[in-house]
Amino acid sequence: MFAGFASLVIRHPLSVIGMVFCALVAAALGMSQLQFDDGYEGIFSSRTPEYQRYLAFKRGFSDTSTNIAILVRSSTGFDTAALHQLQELALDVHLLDGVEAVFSLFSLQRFNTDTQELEPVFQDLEGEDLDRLIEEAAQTSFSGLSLISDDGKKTTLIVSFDDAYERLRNAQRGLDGLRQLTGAFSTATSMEAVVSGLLPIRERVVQQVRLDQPVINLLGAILGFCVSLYIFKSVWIALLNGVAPVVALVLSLGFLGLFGFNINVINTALPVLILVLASSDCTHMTYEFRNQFRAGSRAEDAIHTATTETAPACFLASITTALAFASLSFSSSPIIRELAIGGAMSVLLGLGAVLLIHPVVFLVASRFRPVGAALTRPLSADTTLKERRLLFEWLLARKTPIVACGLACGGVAVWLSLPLQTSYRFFENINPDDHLVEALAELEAFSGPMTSIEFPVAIAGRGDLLAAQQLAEIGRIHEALEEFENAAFAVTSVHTLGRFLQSQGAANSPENLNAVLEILPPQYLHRIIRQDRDGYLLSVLVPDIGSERLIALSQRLWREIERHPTSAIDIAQPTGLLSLSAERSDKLIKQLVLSFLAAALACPLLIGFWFRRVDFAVFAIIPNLLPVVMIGAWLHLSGNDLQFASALALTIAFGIAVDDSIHVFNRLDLETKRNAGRRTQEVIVAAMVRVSPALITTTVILSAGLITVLWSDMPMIEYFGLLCIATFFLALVTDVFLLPGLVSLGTGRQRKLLDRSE
Amino acid sequence: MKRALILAVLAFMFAGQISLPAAAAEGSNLASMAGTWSGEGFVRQRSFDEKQRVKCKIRVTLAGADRTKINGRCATAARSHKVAMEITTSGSGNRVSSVGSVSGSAQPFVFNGRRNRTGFTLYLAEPIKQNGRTITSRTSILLPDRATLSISQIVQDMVTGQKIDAMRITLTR
Repeated sequence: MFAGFASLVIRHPLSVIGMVFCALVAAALGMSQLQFDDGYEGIFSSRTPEYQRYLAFKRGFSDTSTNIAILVRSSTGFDTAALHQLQELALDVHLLDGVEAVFSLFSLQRFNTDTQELEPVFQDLEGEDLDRLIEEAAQTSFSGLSLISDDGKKTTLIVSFDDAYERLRNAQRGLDGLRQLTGAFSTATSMEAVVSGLLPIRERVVQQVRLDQPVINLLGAILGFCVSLYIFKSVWIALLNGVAPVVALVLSLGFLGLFGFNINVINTALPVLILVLASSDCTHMTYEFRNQFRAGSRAEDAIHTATTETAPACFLASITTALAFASLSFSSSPIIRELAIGGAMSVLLGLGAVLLIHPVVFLVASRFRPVGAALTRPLSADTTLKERRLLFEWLLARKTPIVACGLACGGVAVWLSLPLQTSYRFFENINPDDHLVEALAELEAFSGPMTSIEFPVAIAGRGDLLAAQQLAEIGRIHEALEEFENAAFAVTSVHTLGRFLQSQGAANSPENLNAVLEILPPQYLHRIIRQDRDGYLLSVLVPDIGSERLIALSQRLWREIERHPTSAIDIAQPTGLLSLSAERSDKLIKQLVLSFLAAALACPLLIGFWFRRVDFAVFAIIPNLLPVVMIGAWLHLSGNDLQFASALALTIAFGIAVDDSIHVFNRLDLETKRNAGRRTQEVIVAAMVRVSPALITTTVILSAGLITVLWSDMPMIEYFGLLCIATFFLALVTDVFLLPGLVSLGTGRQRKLLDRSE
Repeated sequence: MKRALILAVLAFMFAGQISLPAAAAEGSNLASMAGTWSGEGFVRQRSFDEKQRVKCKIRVTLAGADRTKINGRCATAARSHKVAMEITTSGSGNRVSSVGSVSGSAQPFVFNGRRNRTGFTLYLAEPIKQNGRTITSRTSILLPDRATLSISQIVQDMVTGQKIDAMRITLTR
């Protein structure tokens, strides 16, 4: 099949060039359609009960995901002039498009016992004792948030945007407006205002994803060229070796654009992966082109033979990588399923580009004297033939202890990686020292957490919203949760308002509660009362402590709630963005582990089927699983749990790491056919001597390509790249040191069994 | 009451404009009102309370020969309100009536107005009860030039006769 394919390509180079040109035009069109996002809107959506519970919560109550925090710092505190300037800022923010409410010092109210009405704490800034007002503000809490720091030098304005702004694209104008206002404020006053919160941080992540694409891909191409240059010692060959990978990259980006797959934090490393995978395949082919040219073959024959010999391995390697991507479709997350489809299709497009373009490029270019000369020049790898032979003979002489050692390492690594837990943090995709994250942390240090675990509360039967029994029951639960675990968490509910009234010397009566509810902007009112006024919200303010601890905390809080039976209210299970992300991320990461197991099962089966050798299927398992379980063991030992990035990296890297084994099996297969009658040991040594330089080179190329993700400012992308690189190197070690021994031992055992049966 | 005052402002802003075509001496016209206006000033939250800074941003659109829609937002530092109003002219343009709504309020507000020689006056159609007082308001609007709208409001306690400047806002295009 591949011989026929190679002949076709060599006979019709112009047709290939024409086809590729058309594909590139379509890809350019697709690339112009590419969109970037952070994946936040799609990662957790599903038909699962927890997501449906979250949707029901969002229909009933205001969500905090559109809240933006403005941190205002004043080195000298807030005097009358500063408060006036702050007031102006609050006024201007109120009038920005899309702003629903602004919660600031000026929103704080007190109960005037003379008029029996609520009035603003900061009413007349001129004639008041400011120190007393600021102290009063620090002690007044409507929402569980403190609006001013203990030292009186920091305050915050919480800006709530319209729910439509949850979609980042809609929020852009509002965010720009806020930044303009805070920028002008910081310039015109001695204070500094910083905009932070979920939306600005999401926006920063999207900016980073957008910025990463050209930088990482360009660096990947440059590093690929440098590695090729080092190995092939020829600028011409290094350049030609990069043509098909660059086309593969363009086709991959074009495919994503044409089919509406946005580039996001989950798939942002996909294009560079396609680039390096194609580079890896091309390097294998180029090695063989050189071998054939050096053996004195005509250009057509050299390209034909080399393509016929290496294309099957490239084909199978791409199929196993595509299979690893496809295994991600077990996920219930739409954007991980998109990665499954986008990844698998991109790998296949890359394969098409390599098989069609690479032979044609070398066929055409070899007619030029400098390229022809470069193809026949000896390489350093050619001069180490003897050393390589000695190494593999030495390894095969010690195959039993080496294999035993490998198996023991695998066993220990599996045992160590079993306790691995899943982990997810909301802002894991942004650098912790980014000024937006630092500002949010600074703000939460005095205001309290801006995130919460939500417990929607329904009124049982047809009770009145502000009836005494309902209020008493919710108050009892509220206080129980406040006392829970040494009063570790702030709690907000309608009970907070009742307490506020009592602290002001007013009765906690339905009339007074109604008066307080009336002055609350809808965004804040519906953080306490359901929009249709038939239920309440109980919020436990919790920072983003990581999914594992959040899930455990939610369960403990739920058990505490169940300890207090109620008859007038029904409390629903925990929900909200924080709970949803913790629960869903745990399940999604576990699904990724299942995907990995599916890939780990399917790839060896495919290898066995392809070569029609069961032993190859068995041999493929250990050298490729071993790197993954070793990384798993390291993750556990280093205290790094299993995150999205690590679970994705291990699944995808496994699919890529298998490629090395495939090239070994392919060469073993070829050498076995060529050298029928030779001892197995000799065949293995001959195959390894021939294929090992390409294995090392491709691992270096893959790693060099992926090392470019270190230029990304997104920690998870860096982490993904580093884990992939570690897996590739471990796979190289196991393929070079362990696989020959395994093959030798396995084949020897087969022979013994055959001899006995005869 | 603050909502009523804000609506009064909006009503007057439009009232001033719709009377312009009739007031040929000013040489203005209704269509010139369409667009975005923004401005600032002060308002007393409960008429006799302390002054608070207020800012407004509104958009005026013409919905026919005798109807105009106003949508926008007015804010104090404490909170903001969305305002919406539809204003209808009658007769030669000397009489104005309007109905408006404010976010968070279930009750619509009704105003009647008339044009005078230098500007306009708008009254709440019915006295309202606020803070234990029964009050009414008179809002005046002056048009020093076609790009500026100056609005002031006086609130009167109908029992004691006490009057106070409740609002003063200047808007520009």
